[in-house]
Amino acid sequence: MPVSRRSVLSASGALAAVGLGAAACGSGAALDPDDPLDLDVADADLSGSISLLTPDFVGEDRAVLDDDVIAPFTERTGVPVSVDQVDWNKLNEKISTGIAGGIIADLIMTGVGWTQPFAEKGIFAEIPADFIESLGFDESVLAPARYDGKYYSLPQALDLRFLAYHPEMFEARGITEPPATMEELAAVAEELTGDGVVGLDYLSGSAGGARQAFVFLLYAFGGTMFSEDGLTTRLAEEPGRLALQWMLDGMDSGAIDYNLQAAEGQPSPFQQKRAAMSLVATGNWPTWQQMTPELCEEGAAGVFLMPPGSGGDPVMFQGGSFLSVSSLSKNKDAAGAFMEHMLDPEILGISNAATGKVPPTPDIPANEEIQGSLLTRFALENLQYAGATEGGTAAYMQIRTNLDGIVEGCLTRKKSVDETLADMQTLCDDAISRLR
Amino acid sequence: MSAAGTAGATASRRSVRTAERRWGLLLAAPATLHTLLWIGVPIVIAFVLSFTSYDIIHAPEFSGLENYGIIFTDGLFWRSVLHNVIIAAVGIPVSMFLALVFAVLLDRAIPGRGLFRVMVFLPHITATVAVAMIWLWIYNPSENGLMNVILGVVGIGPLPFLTNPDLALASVILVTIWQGIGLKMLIYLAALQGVDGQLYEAADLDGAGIVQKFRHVTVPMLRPATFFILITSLIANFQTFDLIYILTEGGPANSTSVVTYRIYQTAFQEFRVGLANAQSVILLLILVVLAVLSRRIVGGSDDD
Repeated sequence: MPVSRRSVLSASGALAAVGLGAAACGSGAALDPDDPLDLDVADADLSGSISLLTPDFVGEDRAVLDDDVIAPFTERTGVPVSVDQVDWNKLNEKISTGIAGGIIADLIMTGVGWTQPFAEKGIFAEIPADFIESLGFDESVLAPARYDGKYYSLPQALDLRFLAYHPEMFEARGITEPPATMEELAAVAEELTGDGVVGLDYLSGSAGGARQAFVFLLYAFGGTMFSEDGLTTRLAEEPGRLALQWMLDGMDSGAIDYNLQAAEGQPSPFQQKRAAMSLVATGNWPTWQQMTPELCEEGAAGVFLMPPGSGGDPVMFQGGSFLSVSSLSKNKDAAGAFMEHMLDPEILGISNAATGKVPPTPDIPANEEIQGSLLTRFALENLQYAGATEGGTAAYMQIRTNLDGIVEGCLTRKKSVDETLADMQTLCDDAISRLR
Repeated sequence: MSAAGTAGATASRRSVRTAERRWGLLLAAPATLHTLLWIGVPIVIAFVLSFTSYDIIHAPEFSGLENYGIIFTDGLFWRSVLHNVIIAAVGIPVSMFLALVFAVLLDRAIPGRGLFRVMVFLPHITATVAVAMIWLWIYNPSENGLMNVILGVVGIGPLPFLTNPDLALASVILVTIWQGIGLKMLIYLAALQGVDGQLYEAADLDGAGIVQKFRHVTVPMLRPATFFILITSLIANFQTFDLIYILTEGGPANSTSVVTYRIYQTAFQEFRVGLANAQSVILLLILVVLAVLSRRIVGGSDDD
């Protein structure tokens, strides 16, 4: 048979069509986001098995997940739970490849800012409002779980961020109170700088990267990332400018050192007393206990909220792990039951004590490990200030990674503040415009 | 020989050729099928998907040339291409030069030659993940990092090798050089052993010195190997992914982002699979152009 150019093109088109069809069937056919999540199914009616995709419970914490969280559930319901663990940095691709391959987990743990994008794409099942109300969680921790007025995830663990200081360094400089405004914070950081000590470790990465450091300050200066409906970019407005400038000014004065980096497997600059103050996360506590136990003794470290930059209340940055049931799950009833189990106050206490994170509610049975953590205790007492959150738009997964590079570009003086804000605006506007 | 005999011999030769051709086709069939199925089909599908808007979850929608339009205005993509070009322009010549030096040295009968050959080749057969982990340790930004300990002896540092955008790319290039020497040296070594010793003897008779022999005998005789190394290195350079993925994740401030990492980000972090396929098509075109250019510059022959 003669092979003509037309026949080659026809064959190529046919092959591609087969590929496209297969791809569409592989993901789209099983998609049933409208199938409701029924949380009233009796244990006796549950069957089959489920899978959990989690970026938490790494290392020794895994035994707690297996023995103290999953085992009681399996014993009660007869439903085994297989666990797929993945690093936070690889979670996004794990979910996307899982969707493409039709092997997505029944229950998925993601972070703050992830709910809206996956809910918009129909990956997460809606969670009944009456169940949410029965939990009694604070509005501040529920906001990141909402999309289009409905709930698609629930907080299982919070990783809250604020500032810590070495009291003896304050004392040596005659500083009696933690700073109460951003101007004071900058002044105190500058005053504490010298003799090989940096005033404020804000960008070493020991409690999140440059993007989250920027977002935290954005809220401190009264800003927000996006409008309430997630369709308008707000992070490039005046509070964004103030946030970037505050960090640059801190670097100019020497109070913040961009090159002071936390090295893998080593104590942070704050733990090594190379920084007088530091951005800290509640999840840092197990590392403190392991590497610098002296820092965990009573009075060895002080903590305070990020002061407001434009009046109003101080703020706390909220990261964390949120539970969602996959809308593609073939065993939604069991997945929903396991989600309920993980949100049981006693289980919340056990699992958060293991990971060093904060339960999304203070209403948990007395737990020695949680009460023993200065960071967790402080975070629980100030939960109402946990308003600084990432995300807020369904387009955020297209934004978050690129935002890191844009903020870093400003902090390394590759771009001016104006150029950075313009880049942020373009990035976010483009991503939002692509929403279906 | 009669005309009938000549015709018979010609027919017989034709018959043999036809049979050989059939056998040739039959023997090439498995490889051809494999290539078509696993390379041809994905390329065609990637090409078609590059004209769609596809987010993995919803079915692809035809979007014409929109993805290509986005690429031409995507500064980060072209910056990633530039990083690949810089890594290639610096890393490949340096590693080729060092590989040639090692090959010439280890071609001689020196004590422990086998051990040295293994040592130079070892980084190539070590998994890139392990290589990256080792270099993460070497580049540890604290004063305890191996590189900083060494630099500290001469009063430099400690330097944040992978977290400073002015140092990160250079640090990555150093790793690619270190990792790339082994295979290049092996190819040069094999090529050196194929150089006819009589050429050196003739050069000796003409009174050529070591440098002249190297320049006028060794280098020309290694041209096919050089062309092969250059092409494979260029292609490997543009396919670099795992090293960047572990070492820097393209940062800081995208200062080490390379094309494959950008494609990965577009597809798996931003869910823009159609655009990622268009980026892959552009990458393919870049590689084809580079291969043709390299062939012209180095002057590879059809036998290469």
